[in-house]
Amino acid sequence: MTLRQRLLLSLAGLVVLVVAAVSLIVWQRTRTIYERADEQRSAALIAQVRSEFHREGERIAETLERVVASERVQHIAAEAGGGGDISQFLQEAENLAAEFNLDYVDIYTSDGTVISSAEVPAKAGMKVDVPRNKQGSAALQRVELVDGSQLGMVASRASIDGAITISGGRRLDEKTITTLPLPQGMSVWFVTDADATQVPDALRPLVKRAQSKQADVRDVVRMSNAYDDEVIADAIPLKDAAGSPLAVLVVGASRRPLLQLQRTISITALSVAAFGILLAIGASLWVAAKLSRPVEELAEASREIAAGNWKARVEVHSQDELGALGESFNAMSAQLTEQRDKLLQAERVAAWRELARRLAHELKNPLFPLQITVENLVRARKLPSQEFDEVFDESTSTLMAEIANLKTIIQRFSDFSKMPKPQLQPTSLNELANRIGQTLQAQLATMEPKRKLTLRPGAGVGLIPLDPDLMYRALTNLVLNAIDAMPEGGEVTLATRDAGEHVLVEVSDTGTGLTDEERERLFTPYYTTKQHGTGLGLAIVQSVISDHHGTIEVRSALKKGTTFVIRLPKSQAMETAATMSAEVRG
Amino acid sequence: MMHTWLRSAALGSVALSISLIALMPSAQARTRPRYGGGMVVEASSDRTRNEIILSAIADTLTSLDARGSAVPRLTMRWEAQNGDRRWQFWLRTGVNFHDGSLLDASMVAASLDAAKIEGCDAKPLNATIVVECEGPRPALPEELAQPQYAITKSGTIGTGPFKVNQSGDGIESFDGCWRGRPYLDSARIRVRGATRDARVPADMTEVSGDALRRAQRDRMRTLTTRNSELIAIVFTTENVDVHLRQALAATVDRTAIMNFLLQKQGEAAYGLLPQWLSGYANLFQSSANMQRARELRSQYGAYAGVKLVTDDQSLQIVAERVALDAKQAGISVQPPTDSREPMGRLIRIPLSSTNAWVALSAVLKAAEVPMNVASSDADALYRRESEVLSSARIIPLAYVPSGYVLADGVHGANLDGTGDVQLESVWMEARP
Repeated sequence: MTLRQRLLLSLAGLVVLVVAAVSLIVWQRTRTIYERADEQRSAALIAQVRSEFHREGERIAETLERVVASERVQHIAAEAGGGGDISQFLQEAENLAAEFNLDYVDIYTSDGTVISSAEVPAKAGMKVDVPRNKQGSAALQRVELVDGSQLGMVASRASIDGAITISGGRRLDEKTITTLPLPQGMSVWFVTDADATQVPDALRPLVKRAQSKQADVRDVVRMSNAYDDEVIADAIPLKDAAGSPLAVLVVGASRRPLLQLQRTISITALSVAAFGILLAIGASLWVAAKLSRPVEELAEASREIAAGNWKARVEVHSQDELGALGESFNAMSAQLTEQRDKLLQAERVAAWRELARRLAHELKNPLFPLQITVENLVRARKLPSQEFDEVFDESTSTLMAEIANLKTIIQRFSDFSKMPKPQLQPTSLNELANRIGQTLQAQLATMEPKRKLTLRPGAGVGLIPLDPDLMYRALTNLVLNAIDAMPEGGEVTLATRDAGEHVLVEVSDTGTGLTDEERERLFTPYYTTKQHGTGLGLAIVQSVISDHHGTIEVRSALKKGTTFVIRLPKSQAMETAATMSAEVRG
Repeated sequence: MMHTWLRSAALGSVALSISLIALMPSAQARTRPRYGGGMVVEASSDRTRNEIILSAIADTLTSLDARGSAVPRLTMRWEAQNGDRRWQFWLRTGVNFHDGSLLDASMVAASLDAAKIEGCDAKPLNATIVVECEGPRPALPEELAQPQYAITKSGTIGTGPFKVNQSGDGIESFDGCWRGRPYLDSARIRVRGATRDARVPADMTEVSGDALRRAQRDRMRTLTTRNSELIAIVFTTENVDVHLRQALAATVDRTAIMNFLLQKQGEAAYGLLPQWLSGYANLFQSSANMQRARELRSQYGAYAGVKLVTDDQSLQIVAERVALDAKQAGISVQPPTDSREPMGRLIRIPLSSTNAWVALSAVLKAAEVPMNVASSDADALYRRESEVLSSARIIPLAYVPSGYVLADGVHGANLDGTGDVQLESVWMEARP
């Protein structure tokens, strides 16, 4: 992850975190306040309903007192107590109900025979259980009808002489509840049936729980798919005097204001967070422009220098620490470049000195015998002519040999200094190896101790672009060096191998091996481990290989032999393009 | 002193006598029938209205005496043949229809055919009517005394003391009636609840149940019959399970229904015919047996429900009571939601005859139960009634009387054994 991305994530994350924390706190606090208010409203409404029930019960009880005290009822009681014909009062309950504005009126004898019933006239003559509680206010009760039942508030009173009992009351249904004044956002339902069909479908599970638990139940209920159509609902079972649940009162407080407020908070929070993120992006871009870009440029320049582009520099856009860092980098790069140039120059000078030293050393060797031979000739001039002739012939032979040696040294130096460009043509390395083997076979046969040359041409090594002459000379040089490295005898192996985009040529010996120092300096011009030779052979081999866009490396260990591995490209075009690209970047 | 006292006594006696003599014509006038005048009769239903009119304008071939036996009316005599499968009736002569035509056998046969005597065909044979039936009809003469077999032409022209008036909204006296002219000139028979002329008080009002009781309690002039109507639940098909019907029958509390809901007007019905008609009704007497009802209901299993309907608003309370009693045994009694559902009907079945065979036949016919009784003796009737009661195709609840409240000035009103009004004997005091 880049610095810019980290900055962006950090800033954006910080903004989102802050906004989320604030929103959550406001959300929670708002909900707590609203829920507390809803609780209070619900409790007040429930208390109001209970109070209304109680008042209604008192009113019914008072009405019943008046019913019992009426002349008509006293007449009925007298007739019933005196064993008279009570069947004549069949319609009386209806009349009393109409007169006293009651929904239910039942008149019983003391043995439970129904004299008259307003709600179910057909009950007349039936034997029922006489209500025991003949005092107190009306209580909730299920009133059985012909085709079902209803809930009502019912009280009972006995006549003065106890001959008859009158039960009376009023129906309790939804209308009773709907007459109550409701605060805004509050709803009340009165459920009397077991299937809770009197409430919306969403509230039925709550009602059923209250019915089964026979205890108050509270829950949040979603009334529809609208996000803000939720209520906090309280389901309160209403019980009769014996404690049996007869109905359920459901009070609902709408959570719409809370939910709408929460949505507003959410939208606001999201908007602020989005704006914050945009701000963070802008800030990060600005910070990146000020901070990360210089750092990135610095890092890029460092990578280029590491790759070899010593000219890489960074642009300095500011005068602050980053600007100072850039300037320091540029200065450091310039110094490094200068130092490298100096080093190269020094190495070049050192190489030239070494070359001059080696050349002087090589040239001095044959010059000394030349000088001695000429001095001998000068001294021999005083000798008799016959002795002079002998000396003259020997001296001239020596002079000729040393002059030829000088010419060889100079020729090799000239060859090294002006190595020709290779003339590439499709060439088989295996055939070159065969030629080398054939050429050296006769020489190897006469050597003592015996040296063996083993050829291992690789399968699939086809024609590759080579200068056959240069490559022949380079490979011959390596084989001859390998032979020279086995004074005690041994085996030289010349192998070729296909290696994908390249061909490998390996020249191995079982000689004495090289030390680390020898291995490092092996390709330095005029460096040699042999008693004779110019020390240019491997330098020339390296130059030839390099001109073929190949590489050569040596693997060796003391007393374990040495292996030269040459890697040559199969296609000079690819290598040429790669080389040109490197030159352009350089 | 003595002389004075005697003279005063004599004078007082004379004065008293003169006063009494002066009053005598008024009293005699009140008890002596008077020709003329019109009356308004208010019936409780169209059926009663139609029966009143029919019995006023038409005659049957026979009528029934107090014992329920047939006596001659439009026929003089009759003869049973072929094991009571063939009956021949000799017609009375010199009887005119309201249109002046003479009563003859062909007209009688046509009227009987139109009335469709079940299982029988009527054919004229000279001056007689021959009725041939598929099976034995031991009480055919008593059957023919029922109002539905009254002899008419086109349904409105009969031989009775009254005829339909020209406007068709009432009846008027028929001077040429073979039985003699009635006292009344006219009569209007309306159904209670009709808005037209409701302001005109009725001279004779049909009442029942609580209304009759109140009228009697208020010492109004009333005319009541013996219990001449059976209130019963009938199942016209076997589609309601027999165990369920029997269970329902076992839950009925007839005593409570009679004493409270029907205000003691009538008597609880345990059999299809009342004791005074069959003579054996007391043998069926029993009380509600909830345990038995629950046992029968448990044989039915699952949901035990009976659909019960009544078209008579005055019987609605009885239907509700039946439902309440049945509920205690776990039987649900509800009104039907579809007229095609198997159901019971709570209906009033008129005891259309004082002849037990005829009355039982009519009751069974109301439940579409075949009579299948070849003999009119009590044993046969008892066995048939037992069979029907055991199957609970008919569940009798109560016999109720019919009655009329008479306005002042109405005299001579009579009800026959089946509660039908006999207008021919009614006369009205002159209205001021």
